[in-house]
Amino acid sequence: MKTSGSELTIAVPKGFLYKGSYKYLFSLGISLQAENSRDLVFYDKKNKIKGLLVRPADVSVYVEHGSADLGIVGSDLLMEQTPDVIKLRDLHFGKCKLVMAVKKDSVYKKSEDLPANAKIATKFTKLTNDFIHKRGLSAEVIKLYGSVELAPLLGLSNAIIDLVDTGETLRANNLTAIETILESSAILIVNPVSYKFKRTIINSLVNL
Amino acid sequence: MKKFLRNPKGSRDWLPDEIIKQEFVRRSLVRVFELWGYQPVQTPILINLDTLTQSSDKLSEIAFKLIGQHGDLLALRADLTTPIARVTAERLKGEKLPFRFYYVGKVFRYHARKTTNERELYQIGIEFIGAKEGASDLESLKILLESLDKLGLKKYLVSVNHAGLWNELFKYFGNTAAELYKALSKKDLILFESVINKSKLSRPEKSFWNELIKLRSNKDAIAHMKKLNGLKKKLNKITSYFKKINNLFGDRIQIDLSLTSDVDYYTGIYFEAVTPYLGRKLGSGGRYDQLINKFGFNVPAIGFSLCLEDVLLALELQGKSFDGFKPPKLFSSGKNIKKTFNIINKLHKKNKSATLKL
Repeated sequence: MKTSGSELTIAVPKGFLYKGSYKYLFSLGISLQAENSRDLVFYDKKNKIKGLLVRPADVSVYVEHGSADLGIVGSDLLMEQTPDVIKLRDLHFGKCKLVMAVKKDSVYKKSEDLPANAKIATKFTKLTNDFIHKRGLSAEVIKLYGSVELAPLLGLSNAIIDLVDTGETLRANNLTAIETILESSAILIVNPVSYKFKRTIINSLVNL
Repeated sequence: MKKFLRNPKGSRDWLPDEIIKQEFVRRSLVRVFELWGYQPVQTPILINLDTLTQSSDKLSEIAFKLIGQHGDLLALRADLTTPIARVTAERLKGEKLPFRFYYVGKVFRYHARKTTNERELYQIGIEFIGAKEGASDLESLKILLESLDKLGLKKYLVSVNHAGLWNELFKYFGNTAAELYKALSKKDLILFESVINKSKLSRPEKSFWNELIKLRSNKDAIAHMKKLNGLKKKLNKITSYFKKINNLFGDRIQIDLSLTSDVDYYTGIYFEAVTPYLGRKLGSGGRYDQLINKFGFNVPAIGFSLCLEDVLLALELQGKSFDGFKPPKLFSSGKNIKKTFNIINKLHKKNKSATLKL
């Protein structure tokens, strides 16, 4: 494709999944090296692989448009963004849960306890709307881009829907999870057209 | 500052230098279609919503709907196969078959495709109406390949599968096959694997499914269809048909048993064309023997369409250069404009462009 000398381009997420992704790629014999510490593009020259370091939410964008052949992304984001990509493999790392949480001393013990027209703050608006719909709640969704835990403490919302790993952040902010919406782990995705033209190298790379 | 009124989301203008490129695609394809004896048809953009609901649930879901002055439900056409099926049943029943039609026209959808925001796109394609499965399918595939070549696409791949294969698999494996098909159409190979693992399939049956998504060569794909004894006979017809396709086109057409279709009315082969220059397919097609019958004329048909904008984008990404605009020769009007017009007309007769210098 568009890459000079590289046979495959992989989008690797920064942040929570970065370490696990690096380890996973290493286990496949891929070692992506940056030439400068600020580089966002890495190379494994031996395997002719190019790595892109991108925000987690951008991984599926690169892969969907074919700018990257492969990508590693959390299943939570895949369900939120529903990109048109092939979900190739569950990598079983980066496990976390999408939960509904409320203040520790709250009277809400389950989602149904929330008042009519409750406010729910979240980064995951699609998944939250789906959840509201499925539970028959009447709630308003407030989109936030980070530090979602603040919302109930400041009275911005009655509850939040957010990812938890160990639950430490929730505890530190006096919040408690009352319902699990889904469990997430890292997924290897591939662009459908790349998978047609490069199926053999991709399959042999990931031992399919 | 004056505020400009903009186009609604997902629509675009075409300025002359862009039209030149659009015209290249259009002319190249129309040339191929006409050499094969296809004739143009046009149908209205505004259609009755019933026409769409009659044809495909998927299409009526994504189509723009409108309410007419008297409360009648209308829609903007979301594809061209459906309106052509409708007009064939309405106006051409009893005429001598087959009909070879081609079309160039816009389709309108809330989301024309997932990765971008377009809501109106040009589709360009053919419909071959009135011939049963067989040589007409091969003709369609041949025309698709010639079209892609004529455009000058350097690298592309056409994948083909057969709806009959899935029908037999549904019958043989029941619900499991339905779940597996669903997983494949969602492109979810993780779900695909977990459906296999949770099922009560025998070991050879499991390996049949596991291999289905890994097959690469046409030879492997054809051999794969003979692997399960219980299915072998039932797939005989399709197997020998695939062999024919392979003998004729070799590697230029890839038999992909895991290919699912976007449209719900295909009854025979269905296929799609992709190029590495673009992360999504360029076009697709297939046999739809029951569609025209829904409008009251029982006649088999096959066709395909390409998305003009996507073809153009792929060509640009491939680095194709297009002819530019040739400026006309300019003449000052002078005192005697009649005389100048005569000079200009003389050039026009020689097929050279000329106009006034103003």
